Amino acid sequence: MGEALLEVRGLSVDFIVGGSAASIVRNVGFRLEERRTLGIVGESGSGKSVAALSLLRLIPSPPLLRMSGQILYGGRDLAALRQRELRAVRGKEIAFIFQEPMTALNPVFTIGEQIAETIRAHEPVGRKEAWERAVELLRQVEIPDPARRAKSRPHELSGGMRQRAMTAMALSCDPKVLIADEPTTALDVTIQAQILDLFARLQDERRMSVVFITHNLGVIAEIADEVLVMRKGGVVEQGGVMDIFHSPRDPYTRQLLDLLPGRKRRHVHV
Amino acid sequence: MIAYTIRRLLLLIPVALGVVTLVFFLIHMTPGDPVEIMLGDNALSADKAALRRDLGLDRPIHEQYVHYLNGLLHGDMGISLQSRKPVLDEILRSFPASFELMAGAMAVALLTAAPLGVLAAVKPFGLVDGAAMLIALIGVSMPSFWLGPLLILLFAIRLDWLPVNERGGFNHLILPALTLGASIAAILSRMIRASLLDALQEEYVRTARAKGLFERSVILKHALRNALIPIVTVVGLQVGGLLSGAIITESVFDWPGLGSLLLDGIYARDYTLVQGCILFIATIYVVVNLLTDIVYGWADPRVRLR
Repeated sequence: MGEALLEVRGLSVDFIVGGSAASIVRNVGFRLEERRTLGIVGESGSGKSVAALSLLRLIPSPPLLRMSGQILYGGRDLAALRQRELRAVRGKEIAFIFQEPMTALNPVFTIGEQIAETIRAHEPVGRKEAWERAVELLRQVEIPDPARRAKSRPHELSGGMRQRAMTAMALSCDPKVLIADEPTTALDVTIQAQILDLFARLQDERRMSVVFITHNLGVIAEIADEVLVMRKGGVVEQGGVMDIFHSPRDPYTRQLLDLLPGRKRRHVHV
Repeated sequence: MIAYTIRRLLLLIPVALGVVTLVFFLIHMTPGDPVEIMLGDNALSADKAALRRDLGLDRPIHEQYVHYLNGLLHGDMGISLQSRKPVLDEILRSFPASFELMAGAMAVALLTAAPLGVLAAVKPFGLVDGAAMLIALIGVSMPSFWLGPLLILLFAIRLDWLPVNERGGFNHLILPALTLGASIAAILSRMIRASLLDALQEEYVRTARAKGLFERSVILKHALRNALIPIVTVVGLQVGGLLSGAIITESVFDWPGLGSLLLDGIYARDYTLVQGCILFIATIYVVVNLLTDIVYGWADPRVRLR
């Protein structure tokens, strides 16, 4: 077992819903090692996105009522950090990619501006240098003609391009951990495969650890090393991807696997 | 963009025709005779008839209408019945005062509404929000014909800090601009609060936080920039509304602007002057609306003006 880069212990999140408390995430724990990929899988409403957002305390209050547990990263507990210290971790050490880049990117700013400002929030660089780095990042995520594309606004790009732009933004400060919340769900299947390939390459080149959230077990089979299956806010099963796929212990996991189309033809790359 | 602007300006023609026609017939139906008002009750009927012929008021109304339209087509808004000077000259002489008052009122509105609205939205339902929205409620509930005299009583008479009325330096502008701007400040601060609250729920705000931006930048750059898009429309409409609001404020403060000119014209049944003033106001309204749409297209890059 390698050194854990990120370790979550007993994470629980309660929301206030219609005036009363509701438990959204219950006692979730996992270890993420360097250069590994953890897949968090579950149906909508299973609490997987809330759990992921909670790692950087990105849930606003309301609806957030309380959060407990430990989020250990680099010898610190992110759950106990002050806002000022937490800000320095967000985007710099741990970066996010969201599901729908059309709404997750700001419609009125160019993608170049949105990438450059991320760099400038964490590093003392000038506008010009930040812009040049933004263009270079767009090149790395294989956006054609990046110097021109940097001046585009989100609505001027295709869905796949937008997700590449958001990926470039997430990578802009060389994070050690990338959290991707359903990053391919809004894309069609061909584009989805391209984006997954891009992720695999970037993760390898940049030696990142990835937390990949999805409801799609097929995607998990493609990219994850470890899997955590969530249902109704709790963890029903977790372990290595081979174990989960070949000998699922929990009946819910077996149900999910049975729903997978073409299960017999499934390729598992590990 | 240029084609769009030209098309929008061409729209002025039917608008102007409609406004002119409506105002022409409405004011001629209003009781009161300009000749009676000008010459007084004791004038001889021969003098009245002579003046009426002189002004062209003895002709049938449809002839007067065609005559007036014909003049407009040649850029002639006619001669003021009362002062006997060209209407256009009278309007252009009064407009700078009105413009100064409107600019002052808009400055008052924006400078109070923006901070109030933002503070209220950042901590909704808190103390600042409650206070800001109470101020806004008071502002919108106070009619300018009441607020104006109250301000005069307090600041000009009781405290003797500011001059009472008439146009002059910056000192003279403060009270009328406050009076005219108060209700707009109230409306705008509520709009900015609501619009910013909406924007703060958007996913790009979460993204901005996830990127590690400072909270100041999240709110004042990412959220506010988007929140201002619908505000542009409201500001545009309010600028139009200022023109009519100015009539009351101008008369309270004896401000020599378009509103006072129009009011004097109505009292004297000065047909040509009233028609000219209203046509001018309608034109400004259309132009301001056009400018609003152009600014909107700039504020929201997703909108393409065609």
